[in-house]
Amino acid sequence: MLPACDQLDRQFAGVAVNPPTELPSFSFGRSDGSTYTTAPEDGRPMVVFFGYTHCPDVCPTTLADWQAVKRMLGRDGDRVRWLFVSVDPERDTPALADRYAQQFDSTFVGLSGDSATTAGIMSAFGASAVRDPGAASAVGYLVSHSSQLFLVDDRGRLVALHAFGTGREELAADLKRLL
Amino acid sequence: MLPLLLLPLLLLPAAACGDSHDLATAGPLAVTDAWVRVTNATKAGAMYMTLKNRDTATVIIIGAGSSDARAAELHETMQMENMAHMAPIDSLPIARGASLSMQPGGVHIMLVDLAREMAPGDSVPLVLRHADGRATNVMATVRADQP
Repeated sequence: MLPACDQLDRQFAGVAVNPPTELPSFSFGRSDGSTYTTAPEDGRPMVVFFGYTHCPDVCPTTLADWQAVKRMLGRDGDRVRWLFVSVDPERDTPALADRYAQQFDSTFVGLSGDSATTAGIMSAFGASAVRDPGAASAVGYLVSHSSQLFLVDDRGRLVALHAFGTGREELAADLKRLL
Repeated sequence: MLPLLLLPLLLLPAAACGDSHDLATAGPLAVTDAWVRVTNATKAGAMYMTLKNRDTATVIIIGAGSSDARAAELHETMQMENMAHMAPIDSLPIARGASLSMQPGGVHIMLVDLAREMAPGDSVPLVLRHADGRATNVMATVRADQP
């Protein structure tokens, strides 16, 4: 007998989204002229992070965590869709966002859309970002942004959240559940 | 009688101590585990380290600089309601005998406009400026991941 959905949800190491949220699909242009769509792919869960390439601390720390978790997953890690979505499209070109993500792993995808696409995907995921007017920096401006990870199953449903600092083992365990 | 030739040797340690505050190995701050995450494809990176105040008074860090970056800024990341906020730090006091551990997701030094691509094992110099005019030299190692 299959366990009920809510029983499955409670098994996440992160915070389960219960009931799971159906997500719309978004399309992003890439620097090579192709289009990346977040539409579900069978057998391929997604992990999504919203950041920006001028971010020196939380964003690279998160992507380094992904790098380690992907190693922990072995070949299964290639089936996970690892998406870094820029919340700073004004400075992050699609090429820059992609290069930023891929410096950690060649299978990571960095996306930067136009302002409407960025606002749309952030709204769908419940992510936030705001420029810090009072935080002067030589980079021009800093951005406060959602720092949790969003786990999406292969049916395109948001199923779990991981707060920044959640352990790598926990992320690996939750992705194994979704694979 | 002590030969005059030995006198300069006897004076040397005292002279060195008087001018050694800029050396991490002998200054008011002991620096350990200084590292920079590999940060190519970006204009910004972060340096982390552990500082221990072995001086007789509080040491206050008021700024930083690096020949490998256009600017080096003291920052602290704070998590509030699942949002990461990064705020500049004007001064960073370290009480006598206390240690400060810079860690990902907390206090760090933001490096802006890195002068070169970095690979694991590279070294990045940094100077920490103290409020009393002294300074601490740091040499950080580039790493792919935290120690």
